[in-house]
This record gives sequence, C-alpha cells and structure tokens, in this order.
Amino acid sequence: MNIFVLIKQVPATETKIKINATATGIDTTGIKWIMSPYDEFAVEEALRVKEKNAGSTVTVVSAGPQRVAETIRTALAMGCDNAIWVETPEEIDSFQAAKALAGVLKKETKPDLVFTGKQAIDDDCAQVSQLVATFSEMPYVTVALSAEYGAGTVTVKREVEGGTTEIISMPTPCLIAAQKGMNEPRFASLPNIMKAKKKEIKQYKMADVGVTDGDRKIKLVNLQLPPAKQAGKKISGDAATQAKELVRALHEEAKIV
Amino acid sequence: MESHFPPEMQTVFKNVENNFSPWAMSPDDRDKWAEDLQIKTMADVMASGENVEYLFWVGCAGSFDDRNKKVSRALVSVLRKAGIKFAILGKEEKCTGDPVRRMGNEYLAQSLIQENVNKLNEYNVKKVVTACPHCFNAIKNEWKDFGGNFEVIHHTQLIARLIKDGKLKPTKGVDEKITYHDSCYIGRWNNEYEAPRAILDSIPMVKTQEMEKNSANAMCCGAGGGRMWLEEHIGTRVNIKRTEQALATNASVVAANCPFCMTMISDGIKAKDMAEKVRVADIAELIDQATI
Amino acid sequence: MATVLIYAEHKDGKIKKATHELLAEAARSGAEPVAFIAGQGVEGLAKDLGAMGAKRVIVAAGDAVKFYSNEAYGKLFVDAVKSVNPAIILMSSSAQGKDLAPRVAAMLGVGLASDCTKVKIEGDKLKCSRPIYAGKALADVEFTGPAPQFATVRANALSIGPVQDGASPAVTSLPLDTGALKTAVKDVVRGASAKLDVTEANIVVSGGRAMKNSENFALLEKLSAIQHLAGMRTSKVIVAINKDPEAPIFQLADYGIVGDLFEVVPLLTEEFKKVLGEH
Repeated sequence: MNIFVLIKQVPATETKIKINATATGIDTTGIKWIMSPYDEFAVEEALRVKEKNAGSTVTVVSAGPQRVAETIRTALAMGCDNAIWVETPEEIDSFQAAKALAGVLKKETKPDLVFTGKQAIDDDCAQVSQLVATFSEMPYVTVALSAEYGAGTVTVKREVEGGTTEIISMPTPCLIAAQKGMNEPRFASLPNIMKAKKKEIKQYKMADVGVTDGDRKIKLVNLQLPPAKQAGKKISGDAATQAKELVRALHEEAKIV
Repeated sequence: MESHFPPEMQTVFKNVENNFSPWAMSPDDRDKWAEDLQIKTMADVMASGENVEYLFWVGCAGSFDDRNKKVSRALVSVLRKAGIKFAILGKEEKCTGDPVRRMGNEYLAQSLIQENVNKLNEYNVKKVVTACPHCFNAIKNEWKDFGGNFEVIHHTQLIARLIKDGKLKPTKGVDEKITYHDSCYIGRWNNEYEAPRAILDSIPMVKTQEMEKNSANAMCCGAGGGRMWLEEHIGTRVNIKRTEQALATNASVVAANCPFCMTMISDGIKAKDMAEKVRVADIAELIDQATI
Repeated sequence: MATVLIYAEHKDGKIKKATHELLAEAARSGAEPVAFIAGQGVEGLAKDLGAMGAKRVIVAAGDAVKFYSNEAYGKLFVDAVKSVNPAIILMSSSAQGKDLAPRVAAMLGVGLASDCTKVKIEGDKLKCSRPIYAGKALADVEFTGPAPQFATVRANALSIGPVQDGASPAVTSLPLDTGALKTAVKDVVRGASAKLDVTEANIVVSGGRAMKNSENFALLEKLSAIQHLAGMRTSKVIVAINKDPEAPIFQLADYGIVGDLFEVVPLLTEEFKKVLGEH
C-alpha cells in the first residue's frame, strides 16, 4: 500500500502568543516548534496500517518554510519511510497549503490512503484535510475516532455532537482526518531519531506543484489578544445569603437568568 | 527491543521536551511565582557584576504548582530574614530531568542536564540551594557526570545551619502537634534525618510526634521514581497508606520538605476527609511563620 | 439587496437554533435570506425557516438524502449556490458545517473563514473575526478571492431574531442530483447519554470529586432542570462553589461561593425558582 500522511509544524501548545509588528501573524522569536498534535495520531495510524500490510510505505509530506524539516524528521523518527517538503513562504492560507499538498499527491505514486490530523493547532481552520481530498477527488471522513481497513475499502467511525457517532465506509483511495484518541502515538526510539537525521527529504517549490500567491483566498489581519479576563467576584455571607446574592447577580448583572 | 510507555507518561515526556517542565504550562510563566518579590536573576547579577552566594534552584513544582509556589515564596522570605544573598535562573531554568530519567528516557534527561550544567557554568555558579529533594539529588549526585560540580544544599539543611549559627531566630510560637514525613531523597537516599527535626525542635510551642515508620524506615509518599505522573491501578494507593500512618499520630500538621510529598499527602488528607483538621506544611513555611 | 444563502440544519424534526441565528443576522442586515435544507421529510420545515426569516427556501428532500454525507449534501448545496448566486454563504460551525464547508469552498474555488465568533453582514460584504491559537488571539478575516464570501459561524456568536408565525417563503425543490456516491453511511449511533448536546445547552452544571457518588448528582440535576430562560445572552458565565477558598477554580470563575455545595445548591435551586416565577 502506498500511504501518505500530511503534517504541519506549529508552535508548541503552551507558547505565549505575541502579535508580530504587522498584526498578520505571531512573533516567532524563541518559539519551540512541534508537530501539530492531531497529526501525531495521523502518523501513528499510517504506521499501523503499514505494519499490517507487508510491502507498504509511508511518505510524510509537509508544506512550509525551512524550519519544518525538523518536524518532518520527527515523523521519520516515528517510522515513516520517505519525506517530502514543499517550500512555501511564512504566511499562506489553507487553500494554498491544500493545493500544494494535493499537487504533491498528484506528482507522486498514486496514494491508496492519505492521513491527516483534523486541524492544526495554530490557525484552527480545520480545512486542509477536506480541501486536499476534494482537490484530489477522493472521498474523506473527518474527526475519525477509529478505522477498519479491508481490501480496497475503509470503514471509519466519525464523531459528531452530543456523543453521536457515524459509521461511514468508503473505497480507497480516500482521506482520513484523525481525531484525538484515534490511537496512541508511539514515542520515537533513540535509534530511529539517529537514523532520521540522515534521511533525505525530497523538496518541491510551490511553483512546481502549481501554487501561486494569487491562489490565496483568505488573509488574517489585525490580530489581537483577547481582553484580559476580569477577576471573579466572591460572594460572602451564609449559604442562604450567598444563594440569594448569586441569583440576583446572575439576573441583574450577567443577565443570564 | 521496544519500550512501551503508559500514555500519561508520554504526556510528561512531551511537556518536558517542549515546555521544560512536566506540566503543560508555558516556560514563559516559570518565574511568575516571584512576580512581586523583586528577586534578581543570574543574568541580572552577571550584568551588574555583583556577587551572590547561592543560586536558588526553584524547580518545576516550586515554579508552576500553586501549592508549592507558596513554599518557594516562604523560602525566599526565610533566606532574606537570614541575610542570604541569592539569585534565581528565572525563565532560563529548565527541568533537571529527574522525572524523565527515572522513567527511562535517558536521551531527553541527558540533553536537559547538559543544557542546565552549561547554563550554571556560564554564570559561574558555585553553591546551589533547593527546596526540592529531587532537584537536590539530581544536581548533587548526577550532574558531575556532565561537568556540573557544585556545592548543593537542601533548604532544610541550610535552615538548620542558619538556626544553629544564630542567623535565624525562631521566636514566634507555633502551637501545633507536628509529625515529620521523611522524603525519600533527603532521608534514605542522602542520609539526612537530623536537620528537618532540629528545625522543628527549635520552634517554640511545637510538639512533635514521630510516625511509627520514620527516618530510615519511613514509607514513601508514592510519588518517587516518576510515579507522581502515573496512575495506580492495583491495590491501596501508596499515598493513602502513608497518610493513614500520619493521621494515626493525631498531629494537626504534617511537616514535609518536598513538593511531591506535599502534593501526595495533601491529596491523601482530602481523600480521608480530614482537610479541616490536618494540613501539610513545608518546613520553610513553618520557620517563616516562627520568625520575624 | 444582497442575497445570503444559509445552510440550514435540523435535528429530530426541528430547525437548529444555530440556523435561526444565521437567518436572523441576514434579516437584520437588510439582505435577502435564502435557506437551503436537505434531508428526509424536511419539506415541512420550510415554513419554520420562513418564520425565522428566510424569504426563499431551497429544499432537497428524499430518502436518498436521509443521512448526511459530505458528498451528497455538498453536491446539492453547490447546485443551490449556482442557482441562487449569493453574495454571501453562511453555515454553522457545527460537526456538519465543519466537515462540509471546506468541500464546498473547494468546489466553488472560494476562500472560507472558519469558526467565526464575530460576524456582521454589511451590504454584500462579510465582516468576520475568528479565534486562533485555541482562542489565545483573535483575527479579522480579509477575503482576497472571488465572491461569494463564505464563513462558518460558531453557535451562540449571533443572537436569534423574532419568529414570524404564518410567514410563507417561496419554496423551490432541488432535484436530488447527487451523482454516484463513493461514501456510504452504514449507521448513526446515538450517544449513551441521550442528553442535550453541550453546545445546545444554555447552562452546563458540572460536579467534581466532592459529589462523592452518583446519587448526589440528583441535587445538580434539579438545578440544571431550570431551563425556561428568556433573552439568553451569548456570554458564558462560570460559577464555582468550593469549600476551599484557595481552590484554583476561583481564578476562572466569574462568581465564586466559598461554601458547602450540599448546603448552597438546594438554596440556589429555590432562589432560581423564585426569580423565574416572576417572569
């Protein structure tokens, strides 16, 4: 099987967000970069399918500036066989990213399965999985909790609201966007980390895969930090007084009762 | 040969790797506990050319855990009362790697240790005082393999010495019955049973009561060896057992000198529904309470 | 007058509140709200959509579309877009909306502003803002591609409007021209707790370790049963009750009560009943 996993490099989850000078992005000084956490489930799932199907390969693909090589190597250290990097400027939108990734899929050996994380934790757009699948004319299921793989078909359990799940089957080639908990991502072993440092990463330029600046549809501007949360009020008195005062405040101040 | 880590362990590895502490908290907030205390950082000290006697190694718990931040602040108060000159690393401090090393992640532990050692040597640090026995044990006993040769003292050892030398005078009474819980890394591992007890004996009005299992026979609180971060699925929880032993003394205060023991025993007391009658206090807090 | 096409969602024979919010915003802005609805037996919901503000409703009804699939619903919605030719498209940022909207955006070749928490329609333009970095920052969206401008909107970001019973929108039926479908929905499994989905709930009451056992949760259930709330605002309010004045939850809560929940909660329930009785 020819398996692809699409990943994104993002700032570490606990990064303190500072807005950059043009308010179109964040200040990246001193940032620790990681693989977007949902993508880890995607890489793990790809590796598990590979392990169950002899002769399969997993290719990790990522689009972004030079720094993403480090995260591609994390995926290689987890066990991916091949790596592809599409070089892009710092700021691109979901449309451009998806077009680039779909462009890579078109140029490479036809995929049987494509795995992604359901969203990247920086811009939280949650679009690229669906865009790539649609550009590639593949069926997709997002927010996948689990999947079962048969001959030429995949059955996916998908999470919707209110604890409801849908069971959806689709033929390969198809795309699956992983939800948290789809599996337990393996920890990269030391020998694999060392091996990954030496592996070759195939490089494409954005133009090689047919993406231009003109493909940009969305710009994020005027980035702001949310207003500081005001300290809460402690209500004093005995239990009866507290209850009365709380309800009064909810009714008259917060106006939610 | 492959290793299998429980999922909660992976979270700790990830946090230590990305945030330099076992918690999912921004390393930018590491010195928030000291916000209003105007403590100099080693960088400040280096830039101004002055000298401090000690690096106060705060540790991850003392920096990020709400209960233990109070202990850090109490220690600062005590050191200042005794006229000790010290500085902290602030945002430059990273986890000593003790939890991840105990859990078997040598690669991550060694890279952290080397970074910390380099940083301390860069600042010409000679003496280190810390309120965390895990940090104490790591820096004292393990960092020399990485070029880190420092004189390391645990806060209870320093406080005991300061009382002996007359630099700290406990004059205010603390009218409580106190039982001291020996932390493993200060007790059994580093053979210090006297200093914490000497401190308690020096505080007016304190009545001490030993637990049945104390000193070299003390029972672990359950957090060592990385177990602070892991679930317990079988048998009675270790911290509950130890808490029961503490409660059997009828003490109103359990004295601790370790952030993990503090957490485990506090939790045990809550689970036993005794939080209104018994509290856990760090020795630094008790001395702060007993001195002017 | 600009036309705004809204993707309507329904559950158990009712239009979802989030759809009402979108229709209300379109109506408030002076645009022509057009609703699209797909599903089995949804013809009857056209008048409800009209009551919520839709001037026209496009219905794609039939057994073939009983279950949501991004392939089928996507194709039909794009057909509707082509026939309505709206300036603006709005979908709720629900599970369906999140799954479907990017597919539609790809098929139309337009940009999509996801999960917006601030939305204003000004003429034929969409002014929206969205949270990034898990809400640690907020960004305004600039559409640099062609029309229509397309956004998914978070529930409760907009307020609902008045309901006009007796409205009769113009209804068009869309042929179920989905083409050959690759995905097949095998089953839809309702959650074990068939309770209200958290995002639809106005109040969420949560209990921690102090509750000790499941019987005590009955106390909280009595409190949460009080649902007849008029004029809900979109702001979230957190109330914490804890015996420990240093409990970290008080740093998050808007209102805090230091006390015993077993004492306070029953009294709260009575006070709520009194206040709501006055309405």
